[in-house]
Amino acid sequence: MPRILTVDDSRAIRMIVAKQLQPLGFEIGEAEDGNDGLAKLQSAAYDLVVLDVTMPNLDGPGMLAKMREGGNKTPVLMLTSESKTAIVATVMRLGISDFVLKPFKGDELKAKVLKALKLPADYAAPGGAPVAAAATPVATTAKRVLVIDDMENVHKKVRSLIPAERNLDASLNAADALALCRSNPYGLILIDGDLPDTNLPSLTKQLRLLQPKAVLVAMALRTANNVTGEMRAQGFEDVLFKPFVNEAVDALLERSFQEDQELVSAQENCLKLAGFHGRDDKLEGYFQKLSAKLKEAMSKLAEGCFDSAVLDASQLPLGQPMRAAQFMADLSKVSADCGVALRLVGSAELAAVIGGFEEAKSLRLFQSVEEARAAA
Amino acid sequence: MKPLPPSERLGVLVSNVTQTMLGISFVPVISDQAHPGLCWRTAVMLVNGARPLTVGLSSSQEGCLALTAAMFSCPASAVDPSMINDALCELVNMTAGLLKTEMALDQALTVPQVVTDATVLARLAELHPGLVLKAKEIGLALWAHEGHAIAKLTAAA
Repeated sequence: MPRILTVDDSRAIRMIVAKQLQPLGFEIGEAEDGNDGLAKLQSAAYDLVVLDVTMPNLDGPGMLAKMREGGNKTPVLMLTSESKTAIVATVMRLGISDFVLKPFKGDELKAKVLKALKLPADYAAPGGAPVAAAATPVATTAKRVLVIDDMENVHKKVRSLIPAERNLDASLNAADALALCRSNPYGLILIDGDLPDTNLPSLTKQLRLLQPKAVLVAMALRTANNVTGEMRAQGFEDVLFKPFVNEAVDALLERSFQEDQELVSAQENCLKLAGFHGRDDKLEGYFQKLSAKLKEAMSKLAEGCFDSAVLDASQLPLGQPMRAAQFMADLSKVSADCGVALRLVGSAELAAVIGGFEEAKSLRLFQSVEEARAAA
Repeated sequence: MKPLPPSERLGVLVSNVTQTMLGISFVPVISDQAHPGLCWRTAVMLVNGARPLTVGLSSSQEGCLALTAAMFSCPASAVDPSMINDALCELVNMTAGLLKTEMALDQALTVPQVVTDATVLARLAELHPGLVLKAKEIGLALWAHEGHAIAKLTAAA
């Protein structure tokens, strides 16, 4: 059973932390300042410390420094209202797992604690029900795009350039953007490189803490010299030049959502095809990559002596039926070449698409993965 | 760095804190003044640095009880004075954190203090009128101004 130490001078916060985590079966210890926290760590081992920054006697960074000096490597999750750059830099240098900015929602805290403990997002107390998936949006919701620019036309322009299926949020200023970042996961954050009244290095640091996996990109004019260098010095990874061009936006999306683009996922001999969320002119590229990935996956199955497999193609785009049918025909050939019989899962629409292709007729189609497995 | 936000925006910041932590939303009542009854207890946070800032939150006895009960998820009858101080201090701490971000101030927060001296609070109200916020029957006064006038007032009292 994981043991967690909450160190905060506020009894209310310690109580809230305990209330959120005890139902997960965690054992919670409490300390009211850094000195008390160090004493508790000496008397018992903990799996995680949830640590405030501003406290009397010995503050959070002070306690963290003493822990690390003494060789204590217990993971630390900072839970604080403090975002001063120097303090954030210090605690990051000393090694923290993550940051939760107050005010915080219980679900956000739970999700970050589970992540810090390397536990699954649906972790349940032994004998208890799993944490409801809907209660952990940070861990389960698809990543989004955030645009921060004081000109609404920029929001509209970005919206017009990214696929409709990709969720986009927009904010006119840094404060609203940070509020959005507390409750949504982002894969790509586009920020006006000339956002009024904003300390950009400070903003990028705060965004980095809240969204460690997001790609931070500055939107800037081409006219200035060495824009890319200047923006990188302010904490950005890249620059998107205004006015925008399709190719640059596409490249950023591909880079930012790479992990979402696992085209073929495999679990033993059950393969699942990812859907397509791009513009129409990118569909051909999707099919080509998908074919290559499937060929690899089928070869691996053959190497593993599987003579049959289930392929969940329910997400396959059918907007260009001829292309989809051609893909299926190619797949049928690969299946035969590898000696792995495929049982396909898909809709009646997919059945109609492949029904007209002689080459794909050898593929057996089922309505669900369970049905396909049962037919083995 | 930005100037102090207008009253409406300050109200939104406080409400962001109370809505997230307590499920209570406040709205500013521009026509009202932070009268003594609304200042039964005040938690004050001094933000130190090149641009010193004071952020305070006051409420009436009933308001403090209601806020604290919500913070601790307990009935008002179970609330004691230390819990009230704790809850008010934590709310002002979070409000100051959001205000600092809003103003792009890269300055450190301090440990909040509780002020109950009516004379000090009355003098503070003369110097810097508080913003009154309401959520049904709960009233709050928010003090947000440049400088650390309250520290001098408290020291002089």
